[in-house]
Amino acid sequence: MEGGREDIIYLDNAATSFPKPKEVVEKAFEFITRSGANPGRAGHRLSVEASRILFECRKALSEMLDVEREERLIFTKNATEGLNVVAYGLLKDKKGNVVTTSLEHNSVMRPLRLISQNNPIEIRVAKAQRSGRLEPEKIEALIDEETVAVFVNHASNVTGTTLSIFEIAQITEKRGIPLVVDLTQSMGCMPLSFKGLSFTIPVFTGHKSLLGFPGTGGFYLPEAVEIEPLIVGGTGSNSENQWQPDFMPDKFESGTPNTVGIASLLAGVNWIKKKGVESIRKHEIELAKCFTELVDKHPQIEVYGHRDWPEKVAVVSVNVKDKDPAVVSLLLDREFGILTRAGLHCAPIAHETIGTFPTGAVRFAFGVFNSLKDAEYAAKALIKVAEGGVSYDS
Amino acid sequence: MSDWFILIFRNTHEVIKADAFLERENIKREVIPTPKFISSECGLCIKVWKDISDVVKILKEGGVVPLKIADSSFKEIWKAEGKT
Repeated sequence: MEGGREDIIYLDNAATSFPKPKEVVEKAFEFITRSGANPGRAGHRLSVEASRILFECRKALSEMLDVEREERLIFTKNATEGLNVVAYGLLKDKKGNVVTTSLEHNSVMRPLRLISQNNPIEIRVAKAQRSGRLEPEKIEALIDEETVAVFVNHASNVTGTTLSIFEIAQITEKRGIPLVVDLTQSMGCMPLSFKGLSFTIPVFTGHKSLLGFPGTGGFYLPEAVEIEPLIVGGTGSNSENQWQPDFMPDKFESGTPNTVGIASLLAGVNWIKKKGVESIRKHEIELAKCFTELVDKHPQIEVYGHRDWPEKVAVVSVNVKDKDPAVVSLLLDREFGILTRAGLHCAPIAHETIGTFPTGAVRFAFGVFNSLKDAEYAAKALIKVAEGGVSYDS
Repeated sequence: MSDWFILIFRNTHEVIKADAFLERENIKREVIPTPKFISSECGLCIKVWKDISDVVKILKEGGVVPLKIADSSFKEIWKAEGKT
């Protein structure tokens, strides 16, 4: 890895992965120092090199999603932007209902709330169990003739639990209803295949498990789903025309893209492919499991979400009895150099589901560069905090 | 008959994709700025030193058909069916 620090154990990988592989940093450096031109605008060699980076990254991501038409893989600045584009595209000026879950991040809930305020769209929330489980049938029960779209989270950024997105897709595909899947916490650390799905729209971020720089993300729009872009402008194509082109990816990609970020993302995806998604997953789950098992039986510590590891990503949220999560997180940082995230994790509805709203929890999110030693040390530190071994007052 | 041709595509993505296919087939080519006499559709195009029927065949197999093809006098000599 490039960088990293001796004085900390970084367990906030669900917010953004840190550090990044050396290859990711080198690729971005090489790009900005050697071919940092604007892709698709001029015709000189640097512009062509920049365009090739975009093409290769689109292709690499399409392969990872197991989808065929790489030109329909659209870059955005993050998953939030992708979810907004798709939500507005599917729901604006429509009438009916949208079905979602009680495990969503605000990157889904807020666009849906705003759209429902200005359009006759009812939001129907399928309620998950406290353990984070939600049977596809519960989503199916909310779908009717008026359902315009379904939005589901793949892996929860609070509990680490996953939903059976491909089972849910079977339900929506046969009805021809667009299913938007938020892959923010799963792409890069869980195997995925959207092959043959005509109405399912995966949305992803580039800077978490895909190991690229912040400012990267995107979505894949199957041919059968037609939506309008949220942002229009210069594309480097059809320049004689004052109207937005309707071909892909130009329709959804106006303005200069984040080429440095996309170069880093390409290197991240290639790094993951070399290492293998399954092997990364196995490693991360081993750490989350080890940590959970060490703290699980402690009378002062509550761990949220079920323990069925094949159905989880390496995100573990906990609370220490009678201690504010922010205090626990601060003590872990100050006394042990363990970096976690306390609070609601931008997912108030998920915290309501697990019973931790409004104070939230402390989240330990393991990444590919963490070791088993890190997990054991974090567990010991948490137990020490729980037992009052370190003081907030000093 | 000219010994090189210019392939015009809808956008840069198609240019880069077509270029990758032509490279794989070892065809002499160059990605260049599009002569404005031919088109204003996309800033980039591909100059190829190869018979156009071969080129079209390769690109059709790759799923990236040019919008049009011009000869060395920048005159349009081929247009894809159904493309606007």
